[in-house]
Amino acid sequence: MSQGLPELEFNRGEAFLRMDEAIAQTIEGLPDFPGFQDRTTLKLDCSEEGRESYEINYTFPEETIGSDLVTKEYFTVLKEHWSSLGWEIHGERDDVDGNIADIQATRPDGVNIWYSNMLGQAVIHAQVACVEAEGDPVCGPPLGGVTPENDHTKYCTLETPDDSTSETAEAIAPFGGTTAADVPGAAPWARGPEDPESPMSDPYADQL
Amino acid sequence: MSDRMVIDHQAVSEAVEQIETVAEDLDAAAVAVNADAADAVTAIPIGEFAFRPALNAAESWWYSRIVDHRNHLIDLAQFMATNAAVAAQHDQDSESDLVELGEELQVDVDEYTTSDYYETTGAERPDYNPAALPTDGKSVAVE
Amino acid sequence: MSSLSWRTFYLTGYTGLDDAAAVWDRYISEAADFEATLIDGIPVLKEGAADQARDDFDGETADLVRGQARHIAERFLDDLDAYASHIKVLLQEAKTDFETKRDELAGLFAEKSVYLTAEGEPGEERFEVNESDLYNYLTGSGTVEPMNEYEADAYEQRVREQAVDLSDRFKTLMDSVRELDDQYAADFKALNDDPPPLPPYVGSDFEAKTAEYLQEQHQDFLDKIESGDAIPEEVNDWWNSLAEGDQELFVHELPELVGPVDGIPTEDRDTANRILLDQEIADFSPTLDEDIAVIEDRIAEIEGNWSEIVANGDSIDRAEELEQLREELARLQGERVTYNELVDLQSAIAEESPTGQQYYLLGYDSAGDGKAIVSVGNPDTADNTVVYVPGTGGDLDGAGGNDLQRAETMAGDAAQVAGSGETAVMVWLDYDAPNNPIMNSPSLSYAEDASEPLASFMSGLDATNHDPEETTTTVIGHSYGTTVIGQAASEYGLDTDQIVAVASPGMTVDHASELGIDPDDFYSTTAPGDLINAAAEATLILGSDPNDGGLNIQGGGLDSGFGGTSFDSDNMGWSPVDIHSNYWDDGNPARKNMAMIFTGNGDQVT
Repeated sequence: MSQGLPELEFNRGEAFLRMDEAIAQTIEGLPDFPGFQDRTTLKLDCSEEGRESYEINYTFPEETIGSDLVTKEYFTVLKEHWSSLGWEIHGERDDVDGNIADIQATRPDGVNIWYSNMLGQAVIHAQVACVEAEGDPVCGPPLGGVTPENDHTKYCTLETPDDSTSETAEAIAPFGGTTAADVPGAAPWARGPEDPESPMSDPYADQL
Repeated sequence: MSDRMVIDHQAVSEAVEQIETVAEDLDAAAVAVNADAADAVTAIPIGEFAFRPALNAAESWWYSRIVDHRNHLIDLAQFMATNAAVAAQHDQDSESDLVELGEELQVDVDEYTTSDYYETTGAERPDYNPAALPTDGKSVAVE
Repeated sequence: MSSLSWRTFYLTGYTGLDDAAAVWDRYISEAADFEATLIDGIPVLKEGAADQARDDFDGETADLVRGQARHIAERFLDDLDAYASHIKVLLQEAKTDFETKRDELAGLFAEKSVYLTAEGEPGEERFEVNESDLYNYLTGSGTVEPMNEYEADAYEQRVREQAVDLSDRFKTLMDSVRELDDQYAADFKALNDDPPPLPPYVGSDFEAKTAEYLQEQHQDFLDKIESGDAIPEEVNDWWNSLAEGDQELFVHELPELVGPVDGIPTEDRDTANRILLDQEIADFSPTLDEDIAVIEDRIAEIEGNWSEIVANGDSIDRAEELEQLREELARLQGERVTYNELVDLQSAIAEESPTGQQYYLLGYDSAGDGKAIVSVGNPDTADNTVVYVPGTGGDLDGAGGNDLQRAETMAGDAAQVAGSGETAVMVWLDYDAPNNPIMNSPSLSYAEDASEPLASFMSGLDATNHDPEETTTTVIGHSYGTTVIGQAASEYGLDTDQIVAVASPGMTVDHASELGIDPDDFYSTTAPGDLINAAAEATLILGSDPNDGGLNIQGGGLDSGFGGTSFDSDNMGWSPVDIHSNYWDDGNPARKNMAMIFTGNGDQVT
């Protein structure tokens, strides 16, 4: 998606934190969130010199495969939730039986989220297209209770919360005047599965 | 070579003896077949038939080949005995004969010489015997 | 030369040869147990499954010792068959042959007149007339009645004629006996002509020498591989016939004979190729950067002082020097590029892939633009295998970079399909891909050159797969890569269940049925606006458009189309050039469709 996106205001150093942040915001809207099974990172094509595209994938646990929760309910929920966050919904696609199987939304900062039903297995992709290849790509601990052996982070360097306090928080604050520490959910590891106590206010409220 | 060798020096020493026995049996059987086969054809005069000396040469060559095989077995047994002896020297555990030899202790398969065997095991060097000398993989034809 | 006399030959008993053969026969029977005695009878020398004996002697050196014992045993048994058995057989044959000849000679003697006597040294054998006895017989001296003159003349005539006739046969027979004697002499002498080498002795580069020994033992089959006469299935059978220790030696000591060979299991090829890659990188000059800098400085110095050089009349010599320096600089810079590409490849596959799978290096070549085959996941054990053939611009750099990332994306997407199991995705760049999409791509020559290697690779995967019947295998090409697949599939046939064409300019055929698979197992996509649409339609050099669904009208009638199933892909942008590369981009539905196909769910594509 190298065309048609807003000019990105962040570089490679922040890309993974932004993507995890968008997923954290997404799962805030999911009722009965079951957690995630694993996280993988991918590097995608970008034809522009000096720019790179990345993706984070989270798969839902095996026990949710084929459940109405992930194959039906979440599509409806996400449509409303993403809209409420002011994200642009697109990429709605049905499967061969006419059931919705894909939906995407783009956050104002250019991070794209893609929720997909892969024959009953639900997957969330977060993607950034063609960011400036500057800064070492850093990612925080995985969301949704992914265990270390299921966390595959080839394309980013994993930082624990202790490593990434003030400096990282400054770095990922996407909008002026607000630091990451001020934004609930900006530290993506703040919420695990079934953690209804974790509040998530809209970090973009100021922008709307 | 390897950075680690686990060796039960007692078990390997027993294997060494077995290999040496196999080697000597191999030799003895080859000696016997040559002698018995030669006895069987004494009625065919060696000075008259051209094939007779050639048969003798072939049988002798076979024996020389067996000597090479025997020497390989002895060589292998001595290498094993050398490492077993090193392991025995470093066996700190009276309960078990199992010893782990690091790179610095084990006798390397690429650098081993028969001197290592005699020096490590204290075995007595044999008298000079050309037939027992390694031929570096080449057979010694006996005409 | 045999100088055997007829007397010795006739009077010698040959049963001794049979007796000697029996002695050898007993010896061979008893010696045949040698391997069982040496290997199976001595626990620590036994190779194979872990047991107490293996615990008693463990480690690489122990494995080499066991391998050496096996090599000695195998060599001995081969020798037994080649030499001891041969001696036995020659003895048996000699006995039969000599006795047959002696029977012939006895027949000759029985046939002859009593008035003929065998005489003569070797080569001069003849029957001579016993004149006095014949005279007495004819003249009736003694007790015999005399013949009349007519009868006597006739009788004498017959005896003399027989002497001539039988003498010829006698000499001929004895010549053949001596030839036989010479032949057996030659056979026994030839027995030890050029005997195969024995294993090396322990010590002094033992491991390397053992590998050389091993290579020599298998040289015939290795030559067959080298000449391309061994199909991957045969290679796999050969490899599996080797003892584990010998496989290890091949991989570690002779990696060049293992790494590129289709039919050898993935794990072993990977280890061998990584060794080769490490060695090649280590072989580059450690002072490459400094050498380049020195030359650049010297060039700058000459160029900077050119006016002065001209003024001093030294311009001809310095111009020559400049030319040489620039040539050397270009060479070193080329080396630097290759070095960087190899290091990048080494680095790209050093750790686990982003999907959590291991990388496997199935081949590489740094010559020219470079080639490489890299797998995300082990295709021998995966539930689904995918071979991705990149198109224009594919090179060593891409095999460790952009194309490898696409393979990772495809493996990751496939893993997300419920119940899919593991999907191994390979980047197959074992061909010289065209560099320029405008200048080179319309040419078929690149695909023709790639055809046989791709077919061989696919056969190799089939041979090494743990369960080829149950594994879903797909070959997917992008752009010119689809042309390569089409050429290989139509020319040789590919061991694959499915073929996928992404942004194809043509596959050298007009219908999916010509690809050697069921057309229902053919899938294609080209995004709207992809530049390849125009290229494919404009040229048709590379064959019909694989996305032709049969709805277009040609020549006034309905065309049946290319066959197979077309699936959706988004353009993800507006630039025709970018669209051509966007199929693996974030959010492109082509990714999901490909994942469905790879995992055997092609009926789910949209």
